[in-house]
Amino acid sequence: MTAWLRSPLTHLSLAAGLVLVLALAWVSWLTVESGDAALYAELNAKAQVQGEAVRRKVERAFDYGVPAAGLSGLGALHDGLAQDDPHLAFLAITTAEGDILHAAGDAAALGTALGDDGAAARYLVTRLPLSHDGALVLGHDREAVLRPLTDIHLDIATVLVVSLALSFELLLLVITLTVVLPARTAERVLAETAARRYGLTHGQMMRDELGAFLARLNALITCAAGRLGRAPRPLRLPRLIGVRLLAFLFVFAEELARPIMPTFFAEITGGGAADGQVTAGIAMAVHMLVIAIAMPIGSVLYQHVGRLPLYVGGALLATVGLAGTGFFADGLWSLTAWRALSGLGYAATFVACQGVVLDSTGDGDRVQGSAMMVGGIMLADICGPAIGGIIAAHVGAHTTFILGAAVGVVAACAAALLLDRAQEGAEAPPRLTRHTLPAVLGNGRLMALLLLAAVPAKLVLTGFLFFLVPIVLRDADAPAADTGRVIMLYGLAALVAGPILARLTDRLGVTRGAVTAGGLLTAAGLLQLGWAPGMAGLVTAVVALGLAQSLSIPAQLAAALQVADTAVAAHGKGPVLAVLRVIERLGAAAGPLVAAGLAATFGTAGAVWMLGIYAGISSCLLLLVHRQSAVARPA
Amino acid sequence: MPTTLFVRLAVTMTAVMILAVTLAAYLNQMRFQQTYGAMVEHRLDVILETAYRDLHVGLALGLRPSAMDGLPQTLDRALAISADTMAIHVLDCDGARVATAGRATTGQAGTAPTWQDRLDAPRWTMAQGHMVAVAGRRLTDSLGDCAGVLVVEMSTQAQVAAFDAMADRLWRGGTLSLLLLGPLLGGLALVLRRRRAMIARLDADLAMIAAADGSALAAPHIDPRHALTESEARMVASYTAARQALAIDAGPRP
Repeated sequence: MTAWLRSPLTHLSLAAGLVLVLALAWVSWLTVESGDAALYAELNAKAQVQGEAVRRKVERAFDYGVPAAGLSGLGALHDGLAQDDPHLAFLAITTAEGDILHAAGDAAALGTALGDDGAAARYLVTRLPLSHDGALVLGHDREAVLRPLTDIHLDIATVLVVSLALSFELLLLVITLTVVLPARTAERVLAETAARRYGLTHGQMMRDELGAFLARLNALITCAAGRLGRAPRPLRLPRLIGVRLLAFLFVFAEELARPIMPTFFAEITGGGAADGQVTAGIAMAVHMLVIAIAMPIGSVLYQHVGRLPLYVGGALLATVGLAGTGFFADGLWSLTAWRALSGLGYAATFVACQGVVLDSTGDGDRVQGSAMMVGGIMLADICGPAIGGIIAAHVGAHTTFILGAAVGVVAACAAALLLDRAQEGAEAPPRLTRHTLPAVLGNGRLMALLLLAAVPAKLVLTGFLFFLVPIVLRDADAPAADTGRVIMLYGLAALVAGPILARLTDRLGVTRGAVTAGGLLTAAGLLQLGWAPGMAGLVTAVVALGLAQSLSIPAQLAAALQVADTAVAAHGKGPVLAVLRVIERLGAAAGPLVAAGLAATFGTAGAVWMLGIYAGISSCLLLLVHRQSAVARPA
Repeated sequence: MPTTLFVRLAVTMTAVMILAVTLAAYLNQMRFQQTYGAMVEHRLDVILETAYRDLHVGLALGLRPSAMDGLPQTLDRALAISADTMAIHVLDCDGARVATAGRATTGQAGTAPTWQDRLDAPRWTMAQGHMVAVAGRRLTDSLGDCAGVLVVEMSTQAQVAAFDAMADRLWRGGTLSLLLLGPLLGGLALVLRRRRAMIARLDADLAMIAAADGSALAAPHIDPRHALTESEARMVASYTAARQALAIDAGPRP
């Protein structure tokens, strides 16, 4: 570990990171400085317009001889302005000495704003002089009025984090491919050479100074092997880092439009507010269902078609699906069809990436290989909604889907550069067969785990995070950028806490407990929204969901293999994993439909509560099942 | 064409930095435009609604706009509440102009304004050219029937100037920030120069093994700190172990 820290490349990478942070911080600061000045000026201009509208009426009254003390109708003026600007707290007319002659609106706010203590800072006060030597005073709720500035600051910070994350990924890709992998390959070849086996030559030739050395090395090895009557084969270490980028790209293409999906789908499918939500839920559910059904089929196809055609075909299908959603969807049926096509593409690309991980890793490093792929997916879950929310508010929903389609094309091109041919003797993706399926489905404890943990986890993810959160924020008039930022928090919480929680779970050996704890945390997060509605409660729920799922989902995999030990012993891990994934995906498919139905019946707040109760009850039942099986099977 | 690792990494770092700064600048600018645009639109709405409330007094009494005495003065007062307001129009339900205050930017010289096709909408906002925003709403009488259309044109010159100023600052600042690459690439060149020398020594040693009996030659002294990564340092150590075998099995036959 310390050797890695001392290597020049680590120092260079840290320096590059620092340079990037400084550059991005500089750009962000420029935006804040320029933007704040312009936005403050605009806020002031609006307050001036409101004040001027009232002031001219008051001055007309003075012109007609009405004394300042005799004015009336300030309340009606305030009500008229407040209809268009709910942040207007009060209107008042004061004397030259500052005594209040007339007031309208929130009297308590007026008292606070004109007071001498620090609480006055809660209000933005605008004063316009009147000809009677007094003043017209307007007060706006500072926090509410400055909310757009706060939002834009948060978005600038989000853009900084996202730009940094994307830069890190690109640098990691190039450095791994050009420096790390060739050296590791050379290390293996030289170890073989030192043992005088001469079975390997270096198969990843570089066209730089190292390449010349490796070419000479290969020549000598070939010569030595020839003298010993052997034929060395070129060694190419798998480029798993490529899978990380490819997984990132195909998920990113889909996640760009995540913040606007429910509202956009509801608009396309038409109908009233409730009907639109249900039809949007149907479209999202069909997408998830197609993924669930297509993945096992994709696993079969992988063996026959190969990784590159499967990924490229999937990426292009997803491209067509996304482009069709953006350009051509004009009703429920066409939308569903385009979303189904996207789902097919998503499933194919996922299976291709998963296949690469399985081919390239063994039991000793499979977790690391999976983590590489999951890392790419998590990064896309963070970056996609964040960027998509900002873009969608600017260019519209249709164009956002087209941009997603363009990313799909980039993914297809990237696959041609990054995916190697399959290695011989590679392990096939997990498949279900007629013989293995009954053995797996007949395991009561496994089915309890799947139905009480795996299904609720995915159902809540798609139903709450993907469906209800955008609708709740839309109903609160939050911009799409807000939605993207909130959804991003799920991925961020999972990315930060995931490795720590996974290590803790492994160290304590509490996989089943982790699954239950994750479910209970999910329930708590959703239910607290009933007591703390609003942005703070919503953010808490989303972060809690990210933490809960980063705790429970990896543990589900380990727990499933534990409780299905008999099936694993008889048929291997593959069928158990395949059942887990299919049932998970079916839960994901049901999520938007269930959430839409609940929202149509109980409203969005009620739907969140119901999902929270469902998660809580499932976890409690799972706890009971665990306790019972612990009693039945004493240690 | 062979390229050194320095060229590859330098190009990568430069490209990544340009991409990151461009992405951040573009997204920030987009976000600012969206927020600022929404705020300007809100101000336009305030002006529109203020003018509407003044007209509503007469409409509620059953007067059509064409019959309102003092309509031009009412529009003048509404025009005066903001220096950016360029014109306020009241039209009849067929789109014919009833009264105008200010300097109209559209519909002059017999040409129809570009917002003419919006008149049927209850309320609308649009951009008119590069520096004018227009908002309008239908006027209704006490029975809810159409009584006319109210249109406000507002200059967005300040908004456009703010956009341009920000864009200019961001692109200049972003370009300046690329200067930070200088020291980074300098450090990269220094580190890779030492690495190149290390690999050159390895290559020269391999050439000697191929050309002569290298088993008798001492292993080249390589400072492992010149290796770029831990895996390169291990590669050098592996080479030291492997060179003897190569000298025996691949060197020139005596």
